[in-house]
Amino acid sequence: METRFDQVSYRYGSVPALTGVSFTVPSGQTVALLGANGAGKSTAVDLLLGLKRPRSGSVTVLGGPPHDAVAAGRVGALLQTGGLPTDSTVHEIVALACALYGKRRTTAEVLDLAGLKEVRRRKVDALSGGQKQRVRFAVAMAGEPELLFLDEPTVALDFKARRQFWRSVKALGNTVVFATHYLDEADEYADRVIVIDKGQVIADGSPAQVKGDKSLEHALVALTEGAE
Amino acid sequence: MIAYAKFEVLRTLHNVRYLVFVVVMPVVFEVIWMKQGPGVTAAMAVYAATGAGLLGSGNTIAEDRATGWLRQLRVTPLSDRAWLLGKIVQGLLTVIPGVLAVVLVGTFAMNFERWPLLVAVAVVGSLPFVLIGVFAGTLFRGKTAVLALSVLFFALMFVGGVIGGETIWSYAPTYSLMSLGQHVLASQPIEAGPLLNLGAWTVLAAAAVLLRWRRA
Repeated sequence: METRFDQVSYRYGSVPALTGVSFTVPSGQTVALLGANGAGKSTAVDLLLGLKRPRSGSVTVLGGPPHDAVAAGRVGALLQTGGLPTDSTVHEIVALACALYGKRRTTAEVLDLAGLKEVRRRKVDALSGGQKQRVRFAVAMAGEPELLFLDEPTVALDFKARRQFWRSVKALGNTVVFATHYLDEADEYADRVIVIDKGQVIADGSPAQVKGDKSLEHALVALTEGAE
Repeated sequence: MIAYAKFEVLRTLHNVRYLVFVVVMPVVFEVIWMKQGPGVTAAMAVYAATGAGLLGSGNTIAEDRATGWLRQLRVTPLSDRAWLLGKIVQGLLTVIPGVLAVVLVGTFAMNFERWPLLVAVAVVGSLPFVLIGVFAGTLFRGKTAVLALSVLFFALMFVGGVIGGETIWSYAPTYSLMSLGQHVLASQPIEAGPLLNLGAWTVLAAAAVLLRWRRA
């Protein structure tokens, strides 16, 4: 079942965040929403999760309204702004996430998949940035979602941790939509790249097509420099 | 909802500030002032019930809004209603340790026959405080909520006569709850006035929560 953005616009007050954005995510694909900070990627993810409603246009997730897909536990999400309760242990958070989904993995299975077995008794405030991100990932995939939304999932991670993270994501075999401002990450892990600039889609194609598009040179150089 | 309430109760029990402020402190105060009679046990049970009720849920809601955990929960199958109910249940359950500790210490020293009834009255009577806490948690973010609820807590303690000796405002919910507690310990019939007043506070606080909670 399709996930689709159809002529979606959204604005914060008088400031446009997305203008007439359209794209489709077929089942099984890994799609990168690539753009600089403030391009509109996180707004797009919020709209896909039903956290925001479009001012115009429509958003469909797995064939229905975003809220229905979330309520049915068919999607998982790792939010850029998703915090964790500091007084809880890793095990308690993962156990809660597992309990909230009807079709669910066991807590031990999720801890293992996310590489958190060793730190399961630790409180969140005793974890490193990378370990916290793995807890967020564990929450996102606890319910065996059909579709994963990842908003800047590797922003706090070093190179090695990024590779480990993506190995875990790919092992799940889900449909994945991720927002990133790393060109190399989109190039390496996405089947398809949608480049967003100032709230508009300026390119949509395979990583090779996007990288080979001369008209995007300026935007892609800016992303490469921004990431460094 | 049960899994969520259980998670939140465990989270509260891990919180050292909660344990010190609403479990240890009222017990210490009770031991210090116990010689003044059974009224101290009723007052400290109200202290524990009000403190845990106001701060138990309210603090964590404000914190979760500030850190983004509430946003993360919104993209799970936990419905808004289950979240709200979980928070209220959490607030009521986290009242029990402090109230129980105070009442058991008082019963050990003064041999109260009706101590289970006092525990029940204090826990059920904490509902308006839990609802006020939930409302404040949805109104303020982060440390602002802690500050607002702490000021409200001491104000209600003071005007209700729980601390400071004299009752300034007899419509304060703390005064009504303390009055019920004193009647229970004295084996006197429970009066309608304090019950009605607590009921009115509960209705008002519930209305405030219903108006505000979806904007949290």
